[in-house]
Amino acid sequence: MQCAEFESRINQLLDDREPPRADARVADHARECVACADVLASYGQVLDIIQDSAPLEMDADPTPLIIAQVQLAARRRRRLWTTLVPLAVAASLLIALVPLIKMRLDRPDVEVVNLQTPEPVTPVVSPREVDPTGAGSPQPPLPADDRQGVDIVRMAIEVNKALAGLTDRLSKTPTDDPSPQPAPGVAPEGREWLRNINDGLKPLADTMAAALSAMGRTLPNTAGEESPSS
Amino acid sequence: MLQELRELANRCMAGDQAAMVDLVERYRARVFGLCYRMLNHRQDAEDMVQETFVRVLKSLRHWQQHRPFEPWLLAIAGNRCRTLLAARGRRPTMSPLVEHLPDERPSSQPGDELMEEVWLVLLQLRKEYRQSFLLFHEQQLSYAEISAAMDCPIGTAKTWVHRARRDLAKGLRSRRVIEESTNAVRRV
Ligand SMILES: [Zn+2]
Repeated sequence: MQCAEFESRINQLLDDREPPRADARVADHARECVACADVLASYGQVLDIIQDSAPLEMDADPTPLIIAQVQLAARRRRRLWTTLVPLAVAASLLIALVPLIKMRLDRPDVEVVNLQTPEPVTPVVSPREVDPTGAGSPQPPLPADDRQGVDIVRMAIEVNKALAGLTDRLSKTPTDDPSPQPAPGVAPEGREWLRNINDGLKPLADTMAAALSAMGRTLPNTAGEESPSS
Repeated sequence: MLQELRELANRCMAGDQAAMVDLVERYRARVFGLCYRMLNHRQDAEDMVQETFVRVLKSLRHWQQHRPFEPWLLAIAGNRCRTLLAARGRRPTMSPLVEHLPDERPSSQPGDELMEEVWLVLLQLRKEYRQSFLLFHEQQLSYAEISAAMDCPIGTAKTWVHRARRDLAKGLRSRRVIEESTNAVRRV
């Protein structure tokens, strides 16, 4: 064996979890070569020390703290799901409505009336299409695009109502309870958290209301109608 | 063994507190051993043990149950340690290295000085070398398991372990703590 391959041979044996000192080729070369004998000795000592080291012991048992942290996290996760799922649904709907609202803003000539009236929708033509003599023929049925617009606005109103209801519900959570005793089912550490959720929800509802209100203003024939943000 | 672990893990995921205690007690010494060798700081290592098990218990569903559990567990512990080391932005503190020895063991034992030297050199290594070396030689993981634990190719894991061995052996020689080579050869 050459010196150049001596160290790689040691590594090969160690990779196979075999003691290099037991390998005949390694041992033969180490007997003839002082430098490689030194290398072999240093590898042997390193591994002896690693293997002979006493197992380490912790000062304190961490188990109770670990379990407590895991359980706290599980409780928080459960609360997050039960409270945030409705919010997430509402927010998703709001996001989905944005392009539709934009479409309405881009097409102010599309008419929508009688937002609170269930089907059938009464179609209304835009002012520029109204016969000034008042003797025109009956109004044509609402085009498909416009019927879609009516549906969009209805949906937006429903979403807004749902959001408002959610805001009310959250505002009635025990977070507003001035009593120092936590309400049943609400752990003290959850109160601050719920308050934060509630605070976060209100701007969301306000933003949506403003957007719907802006949309309503673009519809000429809805003046005087109930605001979608009601 | 693996089947038993799967059942234990499933009970943990179902919220069984006794199962969680069982899992922690079963592996905490190994995790502490790795963290302590990586960080060379008892309190930091104990904190990392706690962080590791909290993370493990919260993310047990990510353990692929057809694979061995220990590499996955030790990977999380190793990652926590490496993150801490990176956050420190410095090498591990050089606290007395005999700290880990059992109290009843006399500190003047002949092997102690050499042992200190080895651990000291180990702490000077790149953290990837150190972690892979400890996983192979102390935790007895295979290269495939180290590769999975450290998210690197098997060849890279092997190279890291080889370099760690080489640097440790070289470090010992350069510190002149190796006995006369003829005597040493007799020992090996
Ligand atoms: Zn040689």
